[in-house]
Amino acid sequence: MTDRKKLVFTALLFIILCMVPLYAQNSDNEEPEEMQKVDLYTLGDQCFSINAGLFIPLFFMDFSPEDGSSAVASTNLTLGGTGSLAYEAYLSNHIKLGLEIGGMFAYSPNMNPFFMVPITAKFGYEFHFGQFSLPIYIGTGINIITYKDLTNVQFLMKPGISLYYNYNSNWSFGGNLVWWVAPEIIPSSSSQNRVGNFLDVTISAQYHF
Amino acid sequence: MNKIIRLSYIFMVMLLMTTCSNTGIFLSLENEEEIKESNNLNNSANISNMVIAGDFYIGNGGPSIFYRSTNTSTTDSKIDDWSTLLVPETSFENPSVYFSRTTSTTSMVLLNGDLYISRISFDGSSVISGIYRLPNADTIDISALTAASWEKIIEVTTEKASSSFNSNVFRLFEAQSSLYINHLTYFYSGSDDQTASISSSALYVTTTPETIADNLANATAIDISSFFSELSNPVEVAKITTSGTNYWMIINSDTSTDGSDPTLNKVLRSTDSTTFTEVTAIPDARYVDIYEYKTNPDVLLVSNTSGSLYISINADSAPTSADLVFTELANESVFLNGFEDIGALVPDNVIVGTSATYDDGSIDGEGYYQLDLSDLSNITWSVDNFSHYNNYFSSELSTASINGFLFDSAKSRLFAYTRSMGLWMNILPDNKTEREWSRE
Repeated sequence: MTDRKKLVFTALLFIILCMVPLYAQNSDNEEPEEMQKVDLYTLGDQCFSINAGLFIPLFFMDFSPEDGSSAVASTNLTLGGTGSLAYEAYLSNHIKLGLEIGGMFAYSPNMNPFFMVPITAKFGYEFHFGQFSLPIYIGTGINIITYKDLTNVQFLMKPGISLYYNYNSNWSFGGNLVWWVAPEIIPSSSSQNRVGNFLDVTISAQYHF
Repeated sequence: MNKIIRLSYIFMVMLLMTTCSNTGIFLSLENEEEIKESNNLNNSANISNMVIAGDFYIGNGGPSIFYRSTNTSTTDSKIDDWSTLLVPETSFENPSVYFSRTTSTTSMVLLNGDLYISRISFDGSSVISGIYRLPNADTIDISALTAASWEKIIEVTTEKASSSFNSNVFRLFEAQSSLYINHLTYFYSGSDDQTASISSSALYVTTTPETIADNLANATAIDISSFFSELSNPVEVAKITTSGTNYWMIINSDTSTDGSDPTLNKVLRSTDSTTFTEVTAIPDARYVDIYEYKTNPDVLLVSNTSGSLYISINADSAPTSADLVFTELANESVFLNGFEDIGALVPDNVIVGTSATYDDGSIDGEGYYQLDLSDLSNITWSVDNFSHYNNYFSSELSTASINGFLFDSAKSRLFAYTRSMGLWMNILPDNKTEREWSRE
């Protein structure tokens, strides 16, 4: 073999040796360079939540105030309490759908009790980072409002955000912050229409199964 | 899961469409004002009647009569406290007995400036019933009364026997310048009998009550029993009222509380205060109250125990009984009792109190209702009552049995006196734009 032929052979061999690692990645017998992610939840996973905490009346909105009147008025309600039970099912690792039923109480200036019972369907998207989950969601449904001998059933929206610590595969603990957007529409008298705005701050325990 | 969500939504929509109310709860809360305790009267006081005598409000609380000044101050915060009116002495040896809880003022009227009360007192062995007069009550200083300020008109003593006995009760009605006295006797079957039945009833009228004798001999007797063809019970007077042109009376021969026989109740009419004829055009019912709203045209309102109003409207200011034609305006099944013209506050409107039924022992009524008489061809109940959102709805007054109203037009104060829920006052407070109720 001449010197030139030796040089060409050596260069080709070197190139071939450099290309070997490119083919080694597809080998089933090779070790991966980094660990694969495992989804926390999957379709069919479910959970129950129980929530309880503080109910904060914010304000009433009147979208057609009389001349000179403010569109925003005080609720005149005291701080109150709230609680709820929720059932949710995961459609994927991040998306879940559920039902929630709850209740709240507060008092008027003359210490008459005021109650609301919301029944909502919830749709949420859940972020996961480390041991924590951060769902953001919106609930829509009906709100049964009771004051003295009056009862109204109205539409309700409840956007909210939560933060959970995943204690183990079954239990999570955390808190919720939910805004209640509660319109009250009186068909026979539009001047009585109002939108109630309330906030609930609750602690939560969640069981996964 | 999706099916459950869909079904839940359908259920919610159905519920939403079937339970919309006509009253905004949020609006009620937004406007609710705290009920103030503006005075010292007991919140559970039972006030059966109230009058304005000169510069004083006087309320009949049964065992006690309360008074306070109308307060000439323009600042509502400076309201005088309620005090107990000194009542007349009786013939008891121990006068202090009449302050006991077995003493009661059965009725109270203001006539020609004089205050008349009927009282019944029991000292354990005898019952004293009487009518007493406070002359010139509209000009004297009520707070400076002595027991001797009162004049005795009639006083009857009945010894309580171990066997049966009768006691006397006088009920007073005022109609312009006439004082009507319904003299009832109650029969007790024994000394331990805690209940009594009416054994006799007689009605008298006088325009000079200060001169009537103990036996009412110089008062004019009015025969009310002849209106009933078959009489099984004595006839008692439930109500007498006048517009000045017409005199109206409700009489009951059904002294049981359920009014099971509506034919035993009558509405009578007179133009001279003494000669009454029966109003036959009104449907048979157990009548509760009667009110002549105006006389030109003549608008007559009669309530019954079923919560209905019988309304008669007649162009003739003094219609005969035959001219009256009644229509019925139904309402909740409550007694409607105590009419008050609030035209100075809400033009062409009248409020009427409600009462619990007598036989269930409840003191809960439904507050008051408001009648819109602006269109006499279409008289309707108002959807929201007077002062509804300004703490009427949120207060106990909205569930009270109301015995009646008193409107002080000079001070623009409306009082509602109740059965065991105290006395309420509606005013326009300083620095506010809407009237509100407070508790006296």
